[in-house]
Amino acid sequence: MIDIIDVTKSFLSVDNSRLQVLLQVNFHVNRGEFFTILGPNGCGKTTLLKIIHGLLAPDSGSVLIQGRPVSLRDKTRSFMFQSLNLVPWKTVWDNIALPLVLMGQNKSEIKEKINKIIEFMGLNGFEKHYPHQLSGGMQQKVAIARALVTDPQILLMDEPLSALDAYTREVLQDEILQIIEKRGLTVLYVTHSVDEALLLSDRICILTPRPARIKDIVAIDLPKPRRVSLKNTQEFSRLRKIIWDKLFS
Amino acid sequence: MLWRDVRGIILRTVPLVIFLMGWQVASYFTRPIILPSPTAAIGGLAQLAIRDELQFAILTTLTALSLGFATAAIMGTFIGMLIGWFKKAHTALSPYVYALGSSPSFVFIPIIILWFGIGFEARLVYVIFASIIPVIINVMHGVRYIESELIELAKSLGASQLQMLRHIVLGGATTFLIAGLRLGLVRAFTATILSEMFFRLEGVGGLLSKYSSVFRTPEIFGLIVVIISLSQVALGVIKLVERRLLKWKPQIT
Ligand SMILES: Nc1ncnc2c1ncn2[C@@H]1O[C@H](COP(=O)(O)OP(=O)(O)OP(=O)(O)O)[C@@H](O)[C@H]1O
Ligand SMILES: [Mg+2]
Repeated sequence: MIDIIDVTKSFLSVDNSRLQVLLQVNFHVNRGEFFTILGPNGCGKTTLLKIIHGLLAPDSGSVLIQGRPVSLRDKTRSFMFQSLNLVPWKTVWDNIALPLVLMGQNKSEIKEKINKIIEFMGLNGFEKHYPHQLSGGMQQKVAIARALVTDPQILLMDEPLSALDAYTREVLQDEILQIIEKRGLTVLYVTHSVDEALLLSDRICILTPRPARIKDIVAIDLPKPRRVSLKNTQEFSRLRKIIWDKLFS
Repeated sequence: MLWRDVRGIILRTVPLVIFLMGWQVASYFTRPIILPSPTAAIGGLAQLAIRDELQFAILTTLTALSLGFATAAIMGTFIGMLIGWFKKAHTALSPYVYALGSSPSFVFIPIIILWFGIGFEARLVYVIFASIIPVIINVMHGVRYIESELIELAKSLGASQLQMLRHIVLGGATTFLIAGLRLGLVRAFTATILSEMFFRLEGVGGLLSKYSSVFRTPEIFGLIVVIISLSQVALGVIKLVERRLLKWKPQIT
């Protein structure tokens, strides 16, 4: 479904030299697959995800979605930013409504969808709040809601649960799993949590420190449907060790 | 009302009372044609009010001011957004906008009289012309300093240029817009009074001119107080607009 072909990217640094970030990254993500990218800070995960969504152009190489070059106009994809990028002058409600408004959906349709997603994310009662009036974790929930509200086929999420407390995080992991199973979503996911990656992913892609190359791609064949309780099994511990070893080698 | 508010009001009234008392005392030692007493000034105003002259003048002034300034605010926001957003437009036009902004607008009065006469239209044109530039300049800046993350968000959602302007750029420029409105309002008010004094005599400015020419000092002083009060009312309206438009901002107290 998604092909990342020989993607290379560098940025101009402060001193006008080139900072090589991605070096010939190649992989393929299947339809309905949960594909996680794991790598140390600053290695280029966000950059890679932005290139896949079409927000950044690679220096060379290409991204194909169902065989065609990626386009931002294609609204079947949702992107959730690591920096959240909530609109400060819009309320929670209006922030979540934004993608639907931009699609030109009518008011009653929008209202129904938002009510549903607000309920689902546990944001009830905060509809009229502005982003700065929310805690970091709640802001993250709003960004997740905004990414899910359009009912996308492909979901790109950049550390979506990083600001949540351990309990909420587990609840949302469970919920994300359920949505994905129900809707058959294809997900590209970035996280720093090995446990989260193991729990959610079909495959985990491990990147090297910058410039990022693919160090390894590991298939996670834990049985499905997966629930958070899986974390206590021996198989899970075995996989956890494998991933940690690959991250550090 | 909080004690803090009450104290604020008292503190602010003290200088005014002292000023009025000083004025009253000073007027005892001066000829009335040079410095009439505050009570005489109020009397002069009352005379104007009894003949309905004052109310009518205030209405005339406020009509030209609000119509002219509202037009300038809307047009200025629109133009400022376009010049700020489209790089080529910015390169091509911004020097001229700055040039107009830094020259005194009254140098254009002769041309405005030549083209639009000395009636209501001419005053309106002059008010718009004088106050639109600060709005344009500020909105232009606001658009150029908009957070890149928000532009990126709009892009990620596949927004068109028009949607981007409407949903992201306009909101992102509000802080600057308010600053532009404040500056613009001061200019609009000056232009209104000026045009009333130097085109056909109209409104409060016209009255001021009229009574100046016959040395009716109490009325002159009274009218000055009226003009200052009107400017405060106008700024109060801007404050309300600001509170409405910026209620999403974290309050720093
Ligand atoms: N627009 C940019 N201009 C210049 N350098 C950039 C830019 N964006 C990212 N970089 C650099 O590219 C490198 C990779 O950044 P990126 O945000 O992709 O890392 P990451 O893997 O997502 O890190 P983290 O885990 O901290 O989120 C960093 O060294 C960063 O400084
Ligand atoms: Mg990142």
